Amino acid sequence: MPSGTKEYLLKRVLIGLLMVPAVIVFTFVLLHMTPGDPAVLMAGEGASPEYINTIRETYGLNKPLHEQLYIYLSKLFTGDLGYSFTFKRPVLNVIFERLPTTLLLAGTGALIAIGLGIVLGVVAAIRKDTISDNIISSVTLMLYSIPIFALAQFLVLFFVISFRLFPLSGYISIGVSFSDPVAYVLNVLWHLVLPATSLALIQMATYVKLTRASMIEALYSNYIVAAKARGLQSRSILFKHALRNALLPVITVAGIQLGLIIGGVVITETIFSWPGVGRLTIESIESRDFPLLMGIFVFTSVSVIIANIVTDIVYTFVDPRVKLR
Amino acid sequence: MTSLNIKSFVKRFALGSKVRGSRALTISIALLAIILFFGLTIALLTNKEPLRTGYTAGLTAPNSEYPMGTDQLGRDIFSWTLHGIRTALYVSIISTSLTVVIAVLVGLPAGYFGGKFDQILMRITDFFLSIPRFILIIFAVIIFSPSISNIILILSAFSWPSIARIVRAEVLSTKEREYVQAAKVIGSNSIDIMFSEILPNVIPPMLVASALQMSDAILAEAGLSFLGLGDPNVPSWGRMLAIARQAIYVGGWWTLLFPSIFITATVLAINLLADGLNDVLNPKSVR
Repeated sequence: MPSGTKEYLLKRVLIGLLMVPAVIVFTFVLLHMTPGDPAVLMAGEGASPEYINTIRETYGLNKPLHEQLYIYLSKLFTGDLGYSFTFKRPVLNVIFERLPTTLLLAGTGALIAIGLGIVLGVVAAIRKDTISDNIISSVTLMLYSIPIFALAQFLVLFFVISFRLFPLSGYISIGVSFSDPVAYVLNVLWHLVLPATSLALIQMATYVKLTRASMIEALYSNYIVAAKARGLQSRSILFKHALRNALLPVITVAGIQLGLIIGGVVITETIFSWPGVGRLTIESIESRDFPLLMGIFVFTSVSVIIANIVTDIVYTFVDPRVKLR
Repeated sequence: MTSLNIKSFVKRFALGSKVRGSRALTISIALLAIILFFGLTIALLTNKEPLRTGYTAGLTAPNSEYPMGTDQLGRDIFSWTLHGIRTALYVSIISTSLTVVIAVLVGLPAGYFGGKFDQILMRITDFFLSIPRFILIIFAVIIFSPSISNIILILSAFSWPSIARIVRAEVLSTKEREYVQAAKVIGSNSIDIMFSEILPNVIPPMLVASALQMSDAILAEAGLSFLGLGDPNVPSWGRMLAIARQAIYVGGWWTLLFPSIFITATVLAINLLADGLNDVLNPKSVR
């Protein structure tokens, strides 16, 4: 570890963690910019005046703004994201219950996108300006431009409605229980294919483009030229030297993509009725469960912030050239 | 490898990217011309209203009267799809213009003067870049009610930081150039220098970012409408695709196909525009 790395990491983590209170204050400000009474909004539609009063009391909504902010911050920092009136349970519990299914979907989608994206990007770079390069670049640009709510529906139209290859929606078939683990896992995977593919296809273009560009750059850089001059085998040059350096930016982008793909997750989960946090977001909107929606916003923001910190830390270890600010 | 060979490599890249760029631009302009043609001649092509129900008794396949068919409530898909062009362009052009104006007004002085103001800007951009944008947009739309002007304002409010960052970076690299220093020496004031000496240099990278911002705005508005969070009085492709969710199960593939073609073509055209501009304006980038 070069000197200064520790300081850099510490600074990175601190700045990242400062974003958490920023998100919370921001949520608070947004909530208070509403035309109506925040207590009514947080109690939900059709709440009794008594319940609205209880909410007003718990969040101190009749107190001056700075005191309200203090109450809100201290509640959130103890992990109290509020109480969901549709689920009649604390918001954090509801989110945690749905989290594993979302992680499974988003993780599988990202892995397919990264894997396939790198392979296609390398092929396009090696065959730069040939027909295969052009086909790969055009198809990925096309996929990049199709909104996920159109792409996913075409998958449904072909693979669910016309060919009946995959189930319509959900996470597991009715009647399949965990008592038969193999059948259970296979059933979940069968349900996972279409939503994960939708998510993967729209993300893939970014990885193809990135891998292609950095591969081309690497292939024509001086150290590869030198390796060629030393008479190294082209296969070993390609995989040992060029690809390794070309893959570094992929790590950074994978981190950034995480924040961007959450919108895609919300839409995918809605289309395939996948019972994750994305579907939960829409449920919270439909039932006007404001504490739940706010909780999801704070929760996803904090997750993305943490993921970005982790990405940066990983990057420092993988790439010794990383700039120490 | 000799220096001559390296030079020829560089040349090949520059040339290759220019050719690629101009090809992307050609396709993009052709697509945009077709889309604009449809968007501008709606009145000549159809006499149906986009959101009016009851043209037919129910879901009807494309025929001579309804070239793209109708949906479950008998709304004309053709008219709605064409009006969708106007909505998409309206939302993307207005919100992107607003975004760019804010980004320039913040990014120019931040890069030029540096200091505290610059620090604050960087932290704000860090903030917006590290939270999930779509959830934030949903959250804001719920709070401020989903009228089309609110949606445009919300999209702009949450999009300017990343473009402001591009502006700032470009200002930083431009402000040390000789002609800017010269303008300072002859006593031009800061505002003149920023707008007449530095701003022209900021425009090329900003054009690329603005194009991407436009396609982003189209997708965001359509995504909101798809989730039922759009303006119900505005004909949006997103809402059509929400309607298609039920229609495709009873054979109504046309409710999915036509709006999908138009939204994809529009977004593709704008993405190609961004790609092409990037290659032509910045031929050093490896493509």
